[in-house]
Amino acid sequence: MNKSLHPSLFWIGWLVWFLAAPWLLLLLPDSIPLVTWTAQEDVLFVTWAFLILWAMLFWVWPFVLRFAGSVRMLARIGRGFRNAPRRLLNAMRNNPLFFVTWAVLLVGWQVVSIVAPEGTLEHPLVPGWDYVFGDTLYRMSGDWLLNNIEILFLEVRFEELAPYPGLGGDRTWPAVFLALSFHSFMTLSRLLVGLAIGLAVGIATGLAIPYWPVLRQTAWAPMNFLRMIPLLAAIPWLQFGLGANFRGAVAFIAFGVWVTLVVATMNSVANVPDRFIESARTLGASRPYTYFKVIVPGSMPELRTALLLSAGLGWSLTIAAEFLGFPTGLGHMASIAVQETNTARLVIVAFVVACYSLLTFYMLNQMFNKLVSWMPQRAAGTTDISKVAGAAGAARAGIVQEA
Amino acid sequence: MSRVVTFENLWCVFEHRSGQLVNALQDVNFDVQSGEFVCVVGRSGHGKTTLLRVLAGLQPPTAGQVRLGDDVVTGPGADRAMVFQQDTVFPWLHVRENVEFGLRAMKAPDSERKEITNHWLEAVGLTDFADSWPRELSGGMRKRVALASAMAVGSDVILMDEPFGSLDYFTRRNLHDVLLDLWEESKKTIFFVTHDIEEALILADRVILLAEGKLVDDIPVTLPRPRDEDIRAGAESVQITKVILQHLGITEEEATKV
Amino acid sequence: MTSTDVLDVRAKARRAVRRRRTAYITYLILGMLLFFVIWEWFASSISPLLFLMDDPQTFMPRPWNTITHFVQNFLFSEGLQSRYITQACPDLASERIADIPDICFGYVLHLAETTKNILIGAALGTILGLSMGLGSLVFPKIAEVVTPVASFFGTAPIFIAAPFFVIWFGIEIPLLTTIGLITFYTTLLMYFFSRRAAENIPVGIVESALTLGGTPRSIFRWVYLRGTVPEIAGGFRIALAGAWGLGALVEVLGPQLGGGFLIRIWSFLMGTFGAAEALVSLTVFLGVLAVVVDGLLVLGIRFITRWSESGRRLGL
Repeated sequence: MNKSLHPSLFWIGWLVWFLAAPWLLLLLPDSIPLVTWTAQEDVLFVTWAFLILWAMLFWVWPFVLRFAGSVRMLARIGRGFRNAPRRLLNAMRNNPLFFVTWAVLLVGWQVVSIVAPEGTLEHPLVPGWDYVFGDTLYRMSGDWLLNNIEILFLEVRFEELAPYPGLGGDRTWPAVFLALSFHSFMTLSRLLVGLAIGLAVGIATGLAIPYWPVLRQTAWAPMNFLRMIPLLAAIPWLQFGLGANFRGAVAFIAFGVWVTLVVATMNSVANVPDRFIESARTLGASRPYTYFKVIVPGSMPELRTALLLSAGLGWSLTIAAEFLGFPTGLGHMASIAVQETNTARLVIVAFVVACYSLLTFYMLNQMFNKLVSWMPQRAAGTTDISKVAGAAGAARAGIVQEA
Repeated sequence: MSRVVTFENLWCVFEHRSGQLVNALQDVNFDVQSGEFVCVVGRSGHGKTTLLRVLAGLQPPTAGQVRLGDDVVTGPGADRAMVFQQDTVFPWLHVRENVEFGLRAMKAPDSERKEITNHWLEAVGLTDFADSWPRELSGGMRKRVALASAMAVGSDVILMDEPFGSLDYFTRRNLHDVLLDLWEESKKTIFFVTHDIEEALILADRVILLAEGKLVDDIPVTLPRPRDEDIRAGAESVQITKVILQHLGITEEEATKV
Repeated sequence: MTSTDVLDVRAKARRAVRRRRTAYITYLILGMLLFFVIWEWFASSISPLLFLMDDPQTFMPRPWNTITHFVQNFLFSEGLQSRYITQACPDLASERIADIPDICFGYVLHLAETTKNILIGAALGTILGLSMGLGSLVFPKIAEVVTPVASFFGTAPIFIAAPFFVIWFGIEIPLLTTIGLITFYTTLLMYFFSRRAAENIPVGIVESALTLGGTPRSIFRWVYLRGTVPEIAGGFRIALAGAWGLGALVEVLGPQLGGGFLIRIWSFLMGTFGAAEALVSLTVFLGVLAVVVDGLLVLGIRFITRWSESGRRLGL
């Protein structure tokens, strides 16, 4: 059963399951002690129990359909936790400078925060870590604003989850969590949808254009010019035209990713070695056959950098667009920080964004590795600088000894 | 034996980077009989590869034409499969998929495709590696894959452009045997470009000599096969070597000095 | 073949070469024409943008209007002066508006300011990044210290660093905001590019240098310093191309000067006459500037790396 299920069906099914699970939960009676939501007419009052059950149901899908794989994954995670202290210790022993550097940076920041002048502003210009992850993080509960959303015919209300400090309620740690989750969700949904559309359409266009040489030669100049136009500077203009909404943000991010990828894909198609194409042609392959079986796969390895670059651009566009005109999202949180000249808040947002973007890059890289599993591992003959530098030193030492 | 390939008044002129025109081929005329093993020999840069690429249809001639039977060559096709000097095994296809590439392109029926592929994989001794990635094979093995791929498309004429040039001596000798076996079994016409006179003497029925893009000599090699060390050290063989060296501008004395 | 035939063959070859060159230029012009035709289509009443927005025609200016707007406002912008909004000569800020020369209200000084800051930032960043990247070849300890920090900051979208610069230097030291961010960004990129360039130098060359009696100093100087130039130059082009958007965006956020500042002013005036033209023309012109600077860079790189095949290709 596991083998027969096509991977894409599995992933699409998981998404559908994720969206359908809350409806399933609604079918349960609301009298059982754990699930204490109240659904009146078309209004659903969401509780923590509801969210937790939803999260648990989310994991049921892979666990049922890929039982063996899930168990293996769990075992691996367990082993990872068990080995973590030992690996950390080993890492510290092998590469102490890594830890020393970070420790010095973190402690140095704290020292600067004490030494630096207070300034006349409400918040310190260089906030200490206690200030960042204590007071400032706690105050972020004020960003928990989501009262209700309407999905199709259903209205979902969140007011039972935590009080809204923005409306005069108390500040609470759950609200901090909810605020960060909500704004992250907004940012990630904009980014990922835009990125997905941009990647798909960009690679498709980039592969299609060079198929017709006339089209390729015609498209070369305008596409390269479009790529050089600083899209970040166009955000104020696009915001006015497209509006500060999901559709506008997605269209904008997708456009930026598209431009980057079309040019990169056209270049990588051009860089497929001629010998592969000529070999295919002399083996009797027609033009379309050569294109799909030789040029398309042959152009893939070069796309890695372009993928990562476009993901980076996507992130910058998302955060910048939110910064300049959206009422939600991590970029918006950063813009509040600038308005308040609150560096501490900015540190938190930057940290969260850095974590997410690291994750996006990692996942893109993994996906890409699967796509080009046929590729030879990094060709031999490259220099390990440290070794060579060491070798040069050793050679000199040898000469000195002999002398 | 019937005539399969004809070169008629073939000219090929290239533009050098500096803007100068260079004659890669100058008025080449000759024809080849079916089942012949022809070696094209010459110094590098004297038109050997161009000749082969024109025949393959990868390079249009500036003047003149190449005919295959009665048809003028206008582009590449499966009737003239080519083995290249560089590594052209597709790294994104398994070995088996590489060998059946041409057959798939021609939409051969599944059963026939499998049969032919297995046959040629066995002929080059790679049955056990059918499901490997090319990156897992050595250079010599990848050349065998390229050879099998070219053989499998079923063309009567096979073009080889210094295919074994980058291999070490022992692998090369080994592949010569494989190639000669395949040739004797299939009786295909083979064009083999090389700068190695010894290689030409091991393989060829006939040596075409090119110098500065001109055909300078056409030498039949009638040595008996298999051509072991004794035969290649014999008087006839040495005589052919001398002729070739003279034509290439290396006199015997010069040759020994080098 | 007779000798006349030979001439005929060579003439044929020459004609083919000429045809190829003409085709290249023809397609280049055709492509740019197509660019404007499609732009015109996007700005027309049958614009495909109708699917995305309510009123594409006020938002999407026509290409001709954009160009004329830019030309008219290049040396002196009446739109900006009449609102007494911006002038590129800060020293004259306190004087009566009538005394300020016209050019202070034109786009040209702002754009020159942006260009200057980006180039200074990129140059500073390159010096820093290269000295760390190449320095780490001589002192591997540098890499152990810098790499983890740089890769952490390198993976974060660089834009998130911009608000820090805006808070810290903000309006008081506007120069440092733009230059600081560009320097930071270029330093990161050039550090990685120089390390990768050094890694891509074939082992054989370095080992051969060692057997020729190379010392670490001479190998660094004659192998690494020379051999990494093509890749580093290519990396610099990438870094500079990214710097334009970043520089303009920081100016949108903070400093009271530069092309990005003009973009901010016009975005406040959005909906008034000429605002859409102004925004589009400023953005597109920043792109033109980027292309021109990149073109000059290519000429320079081509000269420096004339020994290198890949350098030639990068330059093309």
